[in-house]
Amino acid sequence: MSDSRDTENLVMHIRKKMDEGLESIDAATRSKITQARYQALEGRRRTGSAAGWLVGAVTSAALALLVYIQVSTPVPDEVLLIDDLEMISNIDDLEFLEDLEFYEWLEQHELPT
Amino acid sequence: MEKRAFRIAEIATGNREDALDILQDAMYKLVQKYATRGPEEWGPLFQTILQSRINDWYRRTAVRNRFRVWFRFVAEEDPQEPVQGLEDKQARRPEEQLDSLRSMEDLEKALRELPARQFQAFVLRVWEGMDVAQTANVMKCSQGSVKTHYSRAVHALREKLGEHWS
Repeated sequence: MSDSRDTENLVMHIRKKMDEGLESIDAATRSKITQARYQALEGRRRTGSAAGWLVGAVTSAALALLVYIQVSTPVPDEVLLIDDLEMISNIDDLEFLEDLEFYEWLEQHELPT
Repeated sequence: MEKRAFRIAEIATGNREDALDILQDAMYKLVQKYATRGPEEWGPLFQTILQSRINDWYRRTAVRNRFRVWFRFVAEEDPQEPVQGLEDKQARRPEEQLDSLRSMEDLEKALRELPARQFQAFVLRVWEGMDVAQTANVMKCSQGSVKTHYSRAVHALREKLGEHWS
């Protein structure tokens, strides 16, 4: 019984002493301890920034690829425009274009043969 | 928690700079690996990492000391002995309660002289307030082992510190 009480007293005394020891940590060391905590958290933020950069890079790459595909793939409208340009630039065909309305009317009112 | 962790590392290593390195490493590891865990887990997780880092320090120091002993055996004695055995003057501050300071030094010395497992079991149970199950989890051993280490630690401290500590 007495042993058990002695043990309890010893443990209590030691705990108290160790708690007091916390107060004896000098200011420079306290500052380093705080710094260590912020650096540990900084390490986490640095990882987050790196991930964000990666997402940005991947997105940019995807967009670049999309633009490349768009540019590489022939666009029918553009082809038509180019054809139209060729057609328009040909003087002989130009006359045909001028009479286009007439030929459309003729088609609609085609006389039976 | 950080100050207690620092003091545990400082007592274990006897070196302030090593203790700060261990503390920073442990905090960094906690944030890197376990930031997503619940707050109730952080304490035991942090202690697990801290104790693991202290164990690493023990292993490195043991290897270093073995090498140093071997090297001293084959090399000539250097008259310029390292200041290893010299007391750290900064540890002694002019204070009114000199007895209190000396008793803190006695306590640190007694704790540092404990075998690693006994030291761990003691500080986790007594200072961190962990129960036997939590301590066993951190120390990665059985609850029976925790009780044995703790009991031996208390017995050793009582012998080293003397009756005036009881």
